[in-house]
Amino acid sequence: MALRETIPAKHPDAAARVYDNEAFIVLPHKGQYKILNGVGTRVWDLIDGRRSAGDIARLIADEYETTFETALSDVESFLGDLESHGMLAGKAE
Amino acid sequence: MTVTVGTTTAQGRSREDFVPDIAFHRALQSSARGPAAISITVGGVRVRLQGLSEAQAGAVRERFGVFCDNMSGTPIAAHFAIDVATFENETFLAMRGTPSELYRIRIAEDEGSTLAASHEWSCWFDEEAAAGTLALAAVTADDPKAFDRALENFLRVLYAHALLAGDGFLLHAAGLVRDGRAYLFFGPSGSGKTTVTTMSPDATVLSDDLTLVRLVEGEDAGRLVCHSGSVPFRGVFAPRPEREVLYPVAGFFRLVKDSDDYVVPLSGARAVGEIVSSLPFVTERPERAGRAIDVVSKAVASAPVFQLHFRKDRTFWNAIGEVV
Repeated sequence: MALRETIPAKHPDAAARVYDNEAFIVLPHKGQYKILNGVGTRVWDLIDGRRSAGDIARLIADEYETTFETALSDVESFLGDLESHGMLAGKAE
Repeated sequence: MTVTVGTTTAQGRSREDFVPDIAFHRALQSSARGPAAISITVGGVRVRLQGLSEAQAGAVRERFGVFCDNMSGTPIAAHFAIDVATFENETFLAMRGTPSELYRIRIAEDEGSTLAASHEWSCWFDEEAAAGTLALAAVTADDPKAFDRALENFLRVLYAHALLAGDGFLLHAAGLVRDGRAYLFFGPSGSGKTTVTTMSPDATVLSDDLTLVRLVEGEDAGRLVCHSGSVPFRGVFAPRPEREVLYPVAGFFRLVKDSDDYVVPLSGARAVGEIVSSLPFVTERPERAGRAIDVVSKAVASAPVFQLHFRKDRTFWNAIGEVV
């Protein structure tokens, strides 16, 4: 399956709050903390367990007036970062 | 059901951690215990330790002093009843015997309540029922230092959780009072909490280890004001308090060792994140982490947060004086 077709979901243990368009995320058990910038926060907001990476990239491209290819590359990179920090469900920690 | 986890000693011998479950602790509640009881109050949370021997109760009163009296008049927001019993095991978490071994504490959630275990103690407590048990390893019966260490670490875990419900928290911070206001210097081990404490001889030291932060209603109705006070577990340099006092917080300062003194204001997610990462125990459990973030968010709305770059010189107070 192409990366753009994967459907990301947030780790159920992650606790997140948004302040002035910046999200602060705590992942219990792992002692991981992460602060997301505005675009990252919007992507985090769009991760709902139903949208694919491609769906999210399409929305980001529209909202931030960039090409789909650029948005997809950024979204995939960002999801990979979240995955490496164990912040997505069912992903390798 | 009892959970066991295998460990290995430095000598290569296999030993096992013994982490009791809720059933173990419930059975302990009905076991024979000592006749004495004593209460400790910190930040409006009262913990009644019952089932102590007379000698243990005396040791608690000697160790916790003013916190046994609650003379501050702080309203009691929660009142825990903790049954204490000595268990026949020598240890709960195995001592691995390595020189660099850290004091291990394991915390888990079960049926909505908290289970914790360390080398010389294990506990269970339920915040809704405001009840729990503390099982002490056999070694604490004959070793006063082991009893003192076990009780203090149990109370650190209990208070870190229980204070959140009353809009309070424990912070890994040096708390220093100048001109009636509390300055909270926080950060991980090695960031300089003890250094700023020893470089501030004119300040009243609340703690150089763990400091109480509590939001209390201000004179304007509905407005929460951030206050700080001492706790019984306050590190090496803080004197034993003679009364329990809360001071308004002038600011939170995330310590960064540097070659110059300056402050950088923090706000939003960065301010909350820096403080949350210095809370003991409570962010390890998902159901507590969200509550911890929310209470810290209220504190950040009430008091300014800075990154303090400082050199090993008390001139850092000049940089602070320019912003608060």
